[in-house]
Amino acid sequence: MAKEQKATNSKETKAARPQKKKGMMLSDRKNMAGYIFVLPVLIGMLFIFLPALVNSLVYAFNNVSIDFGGVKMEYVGLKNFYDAFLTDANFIPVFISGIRGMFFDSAVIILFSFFMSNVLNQKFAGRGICRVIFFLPVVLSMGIVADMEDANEMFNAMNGSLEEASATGTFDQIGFSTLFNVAGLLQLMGLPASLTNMIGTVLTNMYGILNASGVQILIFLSALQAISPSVFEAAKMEGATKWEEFWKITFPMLTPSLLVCVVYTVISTFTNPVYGIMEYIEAQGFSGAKYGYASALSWIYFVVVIVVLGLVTGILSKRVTYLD
Amino acid sequence: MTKTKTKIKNEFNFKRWARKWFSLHGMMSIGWKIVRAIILIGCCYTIIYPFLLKTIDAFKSFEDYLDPAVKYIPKYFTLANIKNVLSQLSWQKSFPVTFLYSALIAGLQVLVCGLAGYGFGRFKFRGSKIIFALVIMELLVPPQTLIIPLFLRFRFFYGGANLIGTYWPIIIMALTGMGIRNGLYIFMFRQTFRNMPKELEEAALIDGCSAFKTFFRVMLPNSVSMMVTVFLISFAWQWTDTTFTQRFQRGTSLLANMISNVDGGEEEVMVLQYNNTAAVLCVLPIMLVYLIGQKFIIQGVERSGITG
Repeated sequence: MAKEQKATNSKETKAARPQKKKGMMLSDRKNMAGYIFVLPVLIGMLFIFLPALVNSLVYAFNNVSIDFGGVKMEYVGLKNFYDAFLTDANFIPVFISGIRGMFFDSAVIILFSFFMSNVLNQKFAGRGICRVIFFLPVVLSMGIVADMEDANEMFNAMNGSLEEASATGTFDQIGFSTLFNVAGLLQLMGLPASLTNMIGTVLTNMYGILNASGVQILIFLSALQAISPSVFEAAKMEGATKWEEFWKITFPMLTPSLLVCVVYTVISTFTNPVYGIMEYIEAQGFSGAKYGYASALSWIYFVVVIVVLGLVTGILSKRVTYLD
Repeated sequence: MTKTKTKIKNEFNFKRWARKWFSLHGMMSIGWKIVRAIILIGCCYTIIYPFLLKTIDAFKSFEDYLDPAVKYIPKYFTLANIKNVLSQLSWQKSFPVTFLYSALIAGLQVLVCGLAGYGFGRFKFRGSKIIFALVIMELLVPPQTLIIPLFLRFRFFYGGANLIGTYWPIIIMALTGMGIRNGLYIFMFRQTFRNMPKELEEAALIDGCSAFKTFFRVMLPNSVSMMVTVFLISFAWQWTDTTFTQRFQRGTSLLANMISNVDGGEEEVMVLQYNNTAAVLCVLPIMLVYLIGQKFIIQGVERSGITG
């Protein structure tokens, strides 16, 4: 580790040295190759993503209506943004509940998936099956299965008499807590009520947490597997305990993936349908036909998430250790 | 660990047995094994229980399905649902087509995102930070926001071609790194490549490899775990994707399209059970692919001599 530190330090000083030579340095020419590597994505950005993004930004400052003649726009300045904060009584509460949920959920999901991936990386009987089961939420939480759920719910709503039948078919929220009353047990052991309540909340939401941490567990798992076993061997030869191995090798090697997971989790929890932000924005846009207002709302959401991500990555990236 | 276990089984050695059970370390490790088993069983139960119920539902006759008293063991076991749903999905065509298409898309995404991840992770070119910020932005924007402009783009593609209803839109999106959550894959690859020892590339450079050769010969083989992970996630999400498939590729025989045609037939109510059965049938092949694929998420290549 110390060696790496030295290596990165020397590199930094090299980079900091002013390079006044004109023309292309070897390193510059080498870096030009970077453009070729990101070329497909660059094309996508320029021709598909950015136009759409700019469009929605333009919509946010306009009153947009779509009729047979096409898209009609009427410039209204910041009115949509004023409306969101001052006139609309529903937006702010939905938004705040989303932000609060995001912080709590992200923390729980990250800790849980980090722990679980370490467990799944150990050797035990039935590890393959366990991994498959933990992958299941990646598939179940979106796309076809979620659509089928919605279709069934809609059918039931239209034919109210069949609630009984659907009860067996939909995904119930079943957690540890239905199996054992863990929170009550902990309270008996004399732990403070606030702590046991928190544990209780986590356990009753176990299904949601497991559902949301499928991808994160996979990312951590593949990062764990990427650590060369020889590093552990060397540590063992030096007399490191398992605890030291974890904090001196495993954890630093996982920090790059931790950053990915944090960013992904913050984004995905914020858009979690539980908090209704995305649904609210969509409802404004499609059923309310207020496209301009919906764009303004989504831009408010973008800005807030970007600020949160900026803060989080700013704090984390100082602690992220790269081997390079 | 396993060696000592087999030894204990073969010849019972009291001393070793006692040391294992009564030393602090041994007790801790056994305690951890028990805790681990409880946690894993609990989590697996939580995940699999609803899915298991659905799977059981698929084998129930419709009377059983409506009967709240029949939960785990169907009274009238039947394969009729599965047969019906399979024929409604026209499975001889839709399953192979979806399989090949998902594999193609996942492969393309691994390639494109891998290239981009390497570009972002290892090269410092002008504007790289801005482009990378846009990649994260891409992850941030919910697909619903992009659907209308994307639809118009593919309806009147450059040159006026109408790509809606063909297999092309998602292929084009995969080629340009715009597919479902491709920002995540790019980010994953970037972090992986950044975490690789630079000595690998330097060695390749000295041996006369070009940047591309280095990427394909040195960097990719060293990141098999990440490639497989991205491939599996991408495959699963493409297989189950309805957001883009149902809007841009209507009329193709992908599962996501076929599944929206499932109906109850003569008795409309049966659509409930058919939907459940279809969902189970669609998920099973992905599980199979994962079961095979996860074996490739393996320990990294030895590179002790290089990292030092």
